[in-house]
Amino acid sequence: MKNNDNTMTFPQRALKVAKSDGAIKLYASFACIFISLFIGFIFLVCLDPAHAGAEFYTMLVGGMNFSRLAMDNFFAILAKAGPLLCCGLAVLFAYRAGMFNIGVAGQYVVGVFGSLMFALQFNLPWYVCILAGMLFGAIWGAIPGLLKAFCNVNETLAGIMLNWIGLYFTNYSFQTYLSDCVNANDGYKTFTIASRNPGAAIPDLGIDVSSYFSISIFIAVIVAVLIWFIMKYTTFGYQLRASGLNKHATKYAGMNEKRNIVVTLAIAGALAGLGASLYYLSGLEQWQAQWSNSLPQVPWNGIVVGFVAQLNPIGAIFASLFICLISHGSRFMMQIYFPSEVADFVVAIIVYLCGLTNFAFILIQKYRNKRKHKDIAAPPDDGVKEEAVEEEKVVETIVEEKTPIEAGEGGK
Amino acid sequence: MGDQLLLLLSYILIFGIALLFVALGGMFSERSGVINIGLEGIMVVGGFVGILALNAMVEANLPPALVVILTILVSIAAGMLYSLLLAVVCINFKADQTLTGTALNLLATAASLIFAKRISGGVSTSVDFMKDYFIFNFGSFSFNIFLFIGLIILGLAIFVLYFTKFGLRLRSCGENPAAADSVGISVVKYRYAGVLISGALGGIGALAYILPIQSTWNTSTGVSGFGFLALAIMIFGQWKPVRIGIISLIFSFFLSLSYVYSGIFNAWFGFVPVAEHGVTSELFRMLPFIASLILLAFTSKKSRAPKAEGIPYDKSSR
Repeated sequence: MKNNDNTMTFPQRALKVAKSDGAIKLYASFACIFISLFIGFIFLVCLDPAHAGAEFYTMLVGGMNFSRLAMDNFFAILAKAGPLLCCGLAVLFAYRAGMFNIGVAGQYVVGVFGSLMFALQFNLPWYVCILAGMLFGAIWGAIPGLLKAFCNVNETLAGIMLNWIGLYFTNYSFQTYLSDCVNANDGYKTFTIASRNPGAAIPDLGIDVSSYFSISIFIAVIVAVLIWFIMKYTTFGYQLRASGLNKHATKYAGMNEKRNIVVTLAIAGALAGLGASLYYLSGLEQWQAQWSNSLPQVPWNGIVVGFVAQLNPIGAIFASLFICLISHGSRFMMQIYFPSEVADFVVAIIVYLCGLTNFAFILIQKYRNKRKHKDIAAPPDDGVKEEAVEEEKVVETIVEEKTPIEAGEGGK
Repeated sequence: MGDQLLLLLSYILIFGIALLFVALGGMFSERSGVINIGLEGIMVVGGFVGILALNAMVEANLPPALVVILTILVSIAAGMLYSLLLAVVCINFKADQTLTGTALNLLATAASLIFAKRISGGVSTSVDFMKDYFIFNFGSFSFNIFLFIGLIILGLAIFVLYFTKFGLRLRSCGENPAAADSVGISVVKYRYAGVLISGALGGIGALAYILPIQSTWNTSTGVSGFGFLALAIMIFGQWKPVRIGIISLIFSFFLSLSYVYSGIFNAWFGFVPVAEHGVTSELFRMLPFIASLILLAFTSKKSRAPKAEGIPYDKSSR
């Protein structure tokens, strides 16, 4: 049945690519995004039909308008996409190893603690601050890893606890022994990097196109490619993906399962910490150390990025750009008609639908196997036997094609 | 000093009962085999819809008793409807439960902010409400109606879980769904029941948390991690209703301390601790989570967690 690549004509080859598993995942992601945008649009129409169309259009393309501030918009989106991409990588990297890293929010917050402490308290240059953020993030990621490896604790539950411990720990630190970093005259936010320690700001290499421009997006993209390389071409990456597909098989094959769990989550934590450093060292926002009882939004959106990208690091680059595009564009909507949270609403629906794509994927596989089987089916008089073979084949293919989404099963 | 203790006690009861509702909800869901991370979101939706209903009914001058009953029922209905979103994709379509729960949390926060801003014309994220119907004052000590409901619900939860056919079957679906299925118990039906109960309790728990303390609710803070704290209580209580009741009060003690610690310190030790002394409210809020984490670390090997929680039931894998 299978043609050799050399003998295939171009349309055949294109068809093969278009029907490959990777392509199906791509369609699934686009379907999620379009359905979510549609639901979001319907939601806006229900709220206020008169303004829904125009405002929705603003949300989609508002970030790219060509006015006087267009360059600022463009670079603001890039600056926000970098940290988001890192958080997305933190989620998908752990998920490829079969662990749901819901602790990404805590790792991010502790990363804020590390990077801002080194930037504002110790006045160190930006690369040291980034490393500090990554180090603290890695520690925060390694804790659930150690607990899972040695105490058999579900990393989801440990992650949730560590999220809140991290948030309160960071705020406690900035209120007490790091209170020099906090500006009491500015609503207890941390001092801006530019006013205290300009050397800690992410450099823009002298390219003065916009105040938002820095090399943070390039750092994030390089890290994404690096993660892709690690997962695809290294022994560790292979072990990681294998343990995501079948935990017991990897143990049986003699891989050091415990070490892999800890290292994976520590790397994921370091990625989240990197995201936090990039966000707060490029001066997009100041950390609010008082009265903040909710975790920041960026790492949660990182979960969305990871799953919209179908756990692919390269896909995560585009996913994070898209999410930043609509969340930045939503700020240009007329706030008296629609608040900017409409973007968050759409993003939440996207991640909700992402949970369904795996099911759709299995259905497609089933359907295809049925068709493939019909092509080479035995004579129809032997109906019972045919069904049995078919079933077997389906099961076989599903096991074969089992994505980590399925194998993860809630990270148990 | 007595006043401070009374204040502390009333805070403990308010938070403890609210936590009890939500933690029991989480327990029902997990006992049926579905991890409900979305409790936080369910609380936001239940509380928001309940408060809108309350405001509408107060404006319409309905009798107080009717307002109280209807508000609670509306919250329960909203929580159940919202939890249906989790049930459908996690039980029927076998989606990742953690992912879907996270999506519900994000969705609830975004939606409540959108509606709150639209109601206030885009200026404020807070919603005001009238709480007098829910509070009964005895001198300086105030009871709220949720205290009574909470105790009834706790009793009901124990009864339902351990002394009814429904409870036994629900637990069996969380421990070994394949075995339950083999004797003709519909795993799907019981998991739906578990998630819907958690939605109902999440909705009423949100009211119990939001209504008694202030007369305005800021949707941008939502329920500030209350749903996650309830999950911690459920773990600490080892998925058992009586223990959950006790742990709720203990955790609520720390949470209450974070609000009133300065007054208590002042009355007992004659000084007000501030950040310079290394004491802030974050310290007290952190404690329950640290305690849960340590408990998880030490008891996970013999944890009483439902065996099949978090794993979608697949008939063909039997």
